[in-house]
This record gives sequence, C-alpha cells and structure tokens, in this order.
Amino acid sequence: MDATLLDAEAEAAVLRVYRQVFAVLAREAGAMIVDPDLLDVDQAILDAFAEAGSDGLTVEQATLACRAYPHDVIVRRFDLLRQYGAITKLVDRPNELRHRAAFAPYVMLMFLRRMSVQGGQAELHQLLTLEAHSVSDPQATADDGQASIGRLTKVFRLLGNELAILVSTSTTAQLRENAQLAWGNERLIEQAEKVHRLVLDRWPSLHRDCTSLRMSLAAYADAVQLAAGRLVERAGTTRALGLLPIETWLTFTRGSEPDVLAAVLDGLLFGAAAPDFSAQTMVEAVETGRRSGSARMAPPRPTADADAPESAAATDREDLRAEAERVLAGRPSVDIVEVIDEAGDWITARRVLAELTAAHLHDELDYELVWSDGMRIDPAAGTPWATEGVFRRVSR
Amino acid sequence: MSSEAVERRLYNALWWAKVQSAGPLEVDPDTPAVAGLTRAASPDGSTVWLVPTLPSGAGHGVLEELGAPPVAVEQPNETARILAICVACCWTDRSAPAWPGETGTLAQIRAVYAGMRGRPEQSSDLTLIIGSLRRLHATHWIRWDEKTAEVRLGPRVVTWTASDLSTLRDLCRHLPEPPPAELSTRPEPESDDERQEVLDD
Repeated sequence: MDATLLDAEAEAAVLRVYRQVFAVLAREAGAMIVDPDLLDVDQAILDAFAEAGSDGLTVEQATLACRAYPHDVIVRRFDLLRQYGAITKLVDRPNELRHRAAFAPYVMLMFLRRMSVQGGQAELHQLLTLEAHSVSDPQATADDGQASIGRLTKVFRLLGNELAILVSTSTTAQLRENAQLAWGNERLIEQAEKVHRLVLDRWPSLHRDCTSLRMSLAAYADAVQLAAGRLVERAGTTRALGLLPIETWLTFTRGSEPDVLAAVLDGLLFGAAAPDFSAQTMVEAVETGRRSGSARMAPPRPTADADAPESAAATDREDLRAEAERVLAGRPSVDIVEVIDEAGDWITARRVLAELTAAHLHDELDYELVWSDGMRIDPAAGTPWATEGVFRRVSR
Repeated sequence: MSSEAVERRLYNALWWAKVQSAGPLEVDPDTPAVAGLTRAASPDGSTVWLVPTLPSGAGHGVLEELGAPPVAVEQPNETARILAICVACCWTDRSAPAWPGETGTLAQIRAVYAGMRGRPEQSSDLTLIIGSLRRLHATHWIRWDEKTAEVRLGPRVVTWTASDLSTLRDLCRHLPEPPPAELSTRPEPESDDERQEVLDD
C-alpha cells in the first residue's frame, strides 16, 4: 500500500463532498464514513443484489458474491445498509434470511460518484438545464417560474457566499482545496442567465425575483474573481511560467531513469551555476554596509559636555606653564638641586618635582627635565639626598 | 529537417554546452552568432563574449520563488557591495549601457569603499576588497587585473535589464563619487561606435 499524501488529499476532498451532501440527512454528527472505499463495498453489495434477481440474497450469499472484499467488512456494511433500510428482508418475518435491496440507494450512489468528480458542479449544470426545460415547458405557470428562479437564486447565493467567506478568511491552501467552487463558473452563470431570460420573457411580472437572481449571480462572479485573484497572486511567476512545484521535480529526478531525465532537458538551456547579483541585492548590500559603518561612530554627546574636557586640559596646561615659569624665574635653565633646596622639605619638593616632570612630558609645553649622574649629599639641607639635573626651556 | 538545420542545431548545442559548462566565453569576433547567446563585444573589439540570454521572467528570482537556495558565494553582501562600487567606478557614462564601461582602479574602489563605510580606510578593508574582486572575476561579473590593479565590468553585466540599470543608476548616485582614475597603462583609444556593441540575436 503506497498511500501518498496526494491520495489522502483526494480522498478527503471526496469525503468532504459526501459529508456536505448528507448533512441534510444526518441524524447526528460524527457518523459519516471515513473511507471512500466503503462506497465500493456498498456498490458491490447492491450489484450482487441486482444480479440475484427476485429471490433476494442471504448475508452469506452476499458475502460470497462480494468475496473481493474482506468478509467482516461486507457483513458490517450489510448490517448498516439494513439498519438504514437500504436492504430489507424479503418478507418481514422472524428468521427470514433472504433480503432485497431498494433501488434508491443505488441511484444515490450513482449520484454521489458524479458529485465526487466535480463537487456538484456537473449536477448543477444538469439541474440548470432541467430548470430551463421546465420553465420553457408550454404548460409551466408563473408559479413554476418563480419557484425555479427562487431555487437558482438560493443555490448561487450559497455558492457565492461560501467562496467569498473562504477568500476573506482562509489560507491560500484552504482556498486552493476548495477551488472546485470556482470551477466552470462561466458556463454555470451562462446557463442560469438563460433560465433567467426565459422566465423574464415569459412572465415579466417576475422581474423582482429575477433581480435577486441577477444579484446572486453577480455576487458569485465577484467571489470567483476574488478567489482567482488571490490564488494567482499567491502562485506568482512559478505558476505563470508553468513550472511545477519543486517537490514534483525532486520526486521526478529521484525516481527517473537517465534517459527520461535527459529527454526532459532536451532543448532546454540552463545557466551555468553562478552567483547572481541583481540590482536589488546590490542596493540592499550597500544599504546594510552603510549602516554597519555608521554604527561604529562614537555616540553623540551633549554639546555642553564636549567643551568641558577641552577647557580642563587647557587650564591644566596653563597651571603647569605658570609653575614652570615660577621655578625658572626668567632664567633659561635652573638646577634641580637648587629647586629642591628652595622648596625646603621633601614633601614640598616632591610636589614641585612632580609638576616639573608633568611639564616635561606635556606635548604642548616646551620644557625639559634632564637628569645627570651626580648626587648632592648635605645632611643640613631639607632634602639631604638630591640627584643633580637641570630643568630648562627648549625650543621645539 | 534539412541537413543544414541539423548542423545549425548541432552548432548551437555545442556552443551552449561550452558556455554552460564554463560560464561566459571569450571568442574570436569572427565566430558566427549562436541562438540563445548574447554577444558582448569587448571594448577594443578584438574578442566577443558569449553570454546566455535569459528569457524574460526567468532568472534567479525564480529560484527564490521555488525556495531553492541560490548558488552560494562567500561573503555575499561584501561581494555585492564591491560589485556595486565597481559599477560606480567603471560605468561612467550612465546613459549608455553598463557594458563595456571604462577601466577603474583599485585606488578608486578603495576610496569609494571608505566613503561608503563613512570612515577612514582600515587595513582589513583591502583584504575584503581583493577577495571580493577575485570572487567577482571568477564568476565573470567583472574583469580584475591583479597585476595592474585595474578593473572592468565583466560580460555578465549585459544581462542587466533596463530596470536593473535604472536601479543601479540610483545606487551609483548614492555612493560617493570615485576619484579620477589614474591608469597605469595608457588605455586604448576608444571611439564611440565601438562601445555600443551589445548585439542580441
């Protein structure tokens, strides 16, 4: 059994139609068959009865006639058909073994099979033809015409409403599944208009009913267009180019012989595998490139803060310059030992030294602190040990 | 089918096979036209490139629609950016078709790249640029001469449609203006009628 998703989908579609058809007859929900094959069983049973002639069949004979199907399946369907009265005892008495089948279920089966093909569209076509026949019958009265128009109005309203609701609320997949609603709509509308014309010509007094039929037809046509529009929009160029969905190609390539594969590609020209740069991708790439560039820039600062560090640095520099000038006192250079002795104790001297060093290291100040090898040792001084060196002005 | 037609088909099929396996091909200008291939004459007219003609509507957009991955290229965004910059540098006459365009230089590309990034050039930029140029050269989007550090647009740009070109025109306007090219060798003198030889058959 190689059931595929596609098969399952087709079965589901058929069952959906059946369920809709029987909705008007169902006593309670959930009792619908879940396998369309059961209809084949029913048909086989009814076929067997047709063959059996006027004597009828017993359950055993029926199962024997339908031996293509499993025994228990036949028995179960047989019981069910009997419960619904599709099969009845030949004579209604206890212990009667032989049964006869009613013809109506078989007609229903035929009808169902037809319904399953196009979801009732073909039947609608035929009903429309029948309506046209009946309203053009010379014996038909205005009441017949009115009833006919009323029926058509309702059918098309239901069709159009269902489709319009699907278009506005469902996903594309659901819409595609129910696309049967939109099939053959032009012929349908044409036929309905034919009936409409006949009625209006024969009984002009029915113009009010005819108007409502026209409206329902127009609504249906609108709904069909909306649905088709949505499907086409979704399908895009893939459908427009007549290309198959990619899964189909994959299945085909995996399951085909080399000859078959080669035959498909015969006469087709494929581009060599090469990266593509459409104008659009280039625009997008440049845009993102720009963004990442600007992301690396420093975040914006308030303008007030921007000036502050600058002025702080400037004050700092001027302080250093003043200190250096104070130490130099107009001379081009000054001995460090002298500076230290002037400062008195080491605590003060080291602060002065720190500022001279800072002035020496400052980019924008033209002072230099040069240490030499000698050392002054004087126990009497505030700082007894002092390395010799000079602090001087330089020109850069 | 006459034998001439058969020969014609065989001839076309042979060229298709060549172009499909190798990408755009540079051939002698005397080579007769091949159906399904666009001829793009090189700037000096000494050779002709054969590029597959795409039916309108076909192209890489279809791949996207089918959900199939496009042909992968390393650093696709960086490469696309460099291609855009090459277009800005080489496609100087924006009213003419992009092919064949002018010769651009690596210096121009680096300048435009830094300008696009909005910051001074970084040492890693050159690595990225050269890598992208090599990738684009290998796929015939540009012709990149590593020795002279010069670049031209490749034959594949003839597949850009008019709407592509107008998008690119906009893009070029947004990119910084490239500095004037300083070519290492004298470019061959070009006359105007040589430059519009994008023949479609």
